[in-house]
Amino acid sequence: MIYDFLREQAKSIPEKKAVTLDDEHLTYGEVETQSNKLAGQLLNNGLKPGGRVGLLLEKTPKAIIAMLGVSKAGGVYIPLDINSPADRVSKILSSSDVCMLMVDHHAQNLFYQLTKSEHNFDSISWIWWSEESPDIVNLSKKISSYEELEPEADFPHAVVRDETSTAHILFTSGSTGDPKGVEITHKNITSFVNWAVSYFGMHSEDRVSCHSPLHFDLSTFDIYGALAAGAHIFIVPSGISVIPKKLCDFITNNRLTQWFSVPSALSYLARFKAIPENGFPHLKRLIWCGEVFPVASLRYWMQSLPGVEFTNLYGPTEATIASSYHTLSEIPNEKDEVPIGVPCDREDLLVLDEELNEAAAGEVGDLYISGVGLSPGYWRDKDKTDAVFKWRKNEVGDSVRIYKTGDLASVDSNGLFYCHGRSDYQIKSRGYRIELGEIESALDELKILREFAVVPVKISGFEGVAIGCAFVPGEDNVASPMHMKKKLSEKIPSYMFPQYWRSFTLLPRNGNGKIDRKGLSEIFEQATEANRPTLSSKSA
Amino acid sequence: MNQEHLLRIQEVVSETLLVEDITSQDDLFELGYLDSLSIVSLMVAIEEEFSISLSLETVDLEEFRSVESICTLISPLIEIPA
Repeated sequence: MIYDFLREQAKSIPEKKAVTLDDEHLTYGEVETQSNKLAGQLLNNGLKPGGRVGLLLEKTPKAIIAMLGVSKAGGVYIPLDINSPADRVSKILSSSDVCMLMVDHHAQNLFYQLTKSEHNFDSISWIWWSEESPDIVNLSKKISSYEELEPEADFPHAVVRDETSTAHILFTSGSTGDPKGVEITHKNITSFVNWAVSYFGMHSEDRVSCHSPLHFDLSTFDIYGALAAGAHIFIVPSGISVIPKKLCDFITNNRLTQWFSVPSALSYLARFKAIPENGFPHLKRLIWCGEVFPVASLRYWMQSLPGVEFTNLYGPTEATIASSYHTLSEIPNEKDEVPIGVPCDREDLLVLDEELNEAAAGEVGDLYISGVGLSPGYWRDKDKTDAVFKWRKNEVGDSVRIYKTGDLASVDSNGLFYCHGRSDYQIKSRGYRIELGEIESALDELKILREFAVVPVKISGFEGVAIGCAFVPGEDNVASPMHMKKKLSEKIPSYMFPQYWRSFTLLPRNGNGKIDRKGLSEIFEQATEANRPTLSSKSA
Repeated sequence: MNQEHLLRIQEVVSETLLVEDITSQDDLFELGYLDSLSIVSLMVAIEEEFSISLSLETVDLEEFRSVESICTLISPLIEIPA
């Protein structure tokens, strides 16, 4: 179980620091004790095995205690994006049928809006999970609080011991407008963590970053990987990532030995050539996942940090953190493509054609994953689950469960896998996984535009993919991009906002009458290229 | 502080980041308007508006925190017509 990693370390190294955020530090003993007490508190308040607890919490040491406390009590935690609009969070809370919420002062505004929303979360039990007093919400309605933890007994709760039970549900962008919940079991997580701790040789002297938000599964590895190794987690404070120097100082001053993030955070530093002259003397490994690391910025990183091990991980949330890995043995050439590598322990990657037959070496097909990482499926959505989780007979006739990633891939004669983009309308922008369909359904709900198409816009250089919206204004003609953005902010998180807008009298169409999305992408791409003066040439 | 520059910057910020009603002291980081993608667009737009050149390697991004601080940053770079 995911909390056993912590429990074992707390027995052997209780005094050792487990997690730090700014000046706040918690030892292994403290995390164990406080999460034990929280589990007791949750059980006293009626949490049942498998009951869902929504976490409206900023990424803090207390949020980590919350995750572990819920797990020990046999519950399922759902980390929520507290920067998302209330409308979207409320969809997630309703569909996941949460029985309790934990709320901190960073999320109180959102929580207040939720209690006022049509879905009536007013009746949901909630815990005030902060030492600060709230200024908006009415505390009298809470069932408990962080302050009330102290008198609780320090008992090592372990209510559920079934490894195949769900540990958490991570919600990700859904193409029809409703976020979909990926169920992840304890075994999914412990399998990956055990492989990774052993592959990377992590140990108790490691000092690891926690950069990704809690609702992304990169942070699942940061947290449970570190706990499994007895290492020290350093939470990257929100807001410093946008100032390259601050982020570099963070790595240097905390003497980090491991950095794990989406490539866009690293490309951004490369763009500003922000790595200090003497590098990061303590850094041993740099790991990325979630999108392609542009080779130009990867080269900059590898040239600047010669002693560091660089590893590309690949895998969607549905297959838990990552399913394949590739550690670079040398700096790639500018034209090289970095492979997504070979499968992790007890996982398999398959390139298949439409009849689910294996593609020949070098041939591009659909990428499927099988093995210990596969999620049981989408929360209470059999149709969506059955659409991508399938069964296939392998060479010896056994039925194997496979997941269709939606990525296109090929495998070379050495067994190395390469990714070739998407076969659908999902994109990665600054590390965020976005279904363009979710943006389109938000625009649809607004009813301002007569017609629109949201398309990916590839930007040359470092940033990867941006989002463009081609539209035909509606009759009342209030469709300024500024107005649209303001309206959209009530529906979708800001990282989903289109950066490029273009008004059309008619949207261009293909021969078959469908909107020419590829053509629109090209129109946006040409326009951004034309508007690309001094900055890009200097950074090239 | 040059009022005309301030207004021009305010307009560029508003058009680039697609936000209305910003004041010259609003903290663009705190308000979540600036991220790794938009900050570079904003730098380009400021360069174009004032025909100046900002170096990615030396610029202190803290200076992009507000319209006022951008104004302080770029004022010495703008040639004043004789």
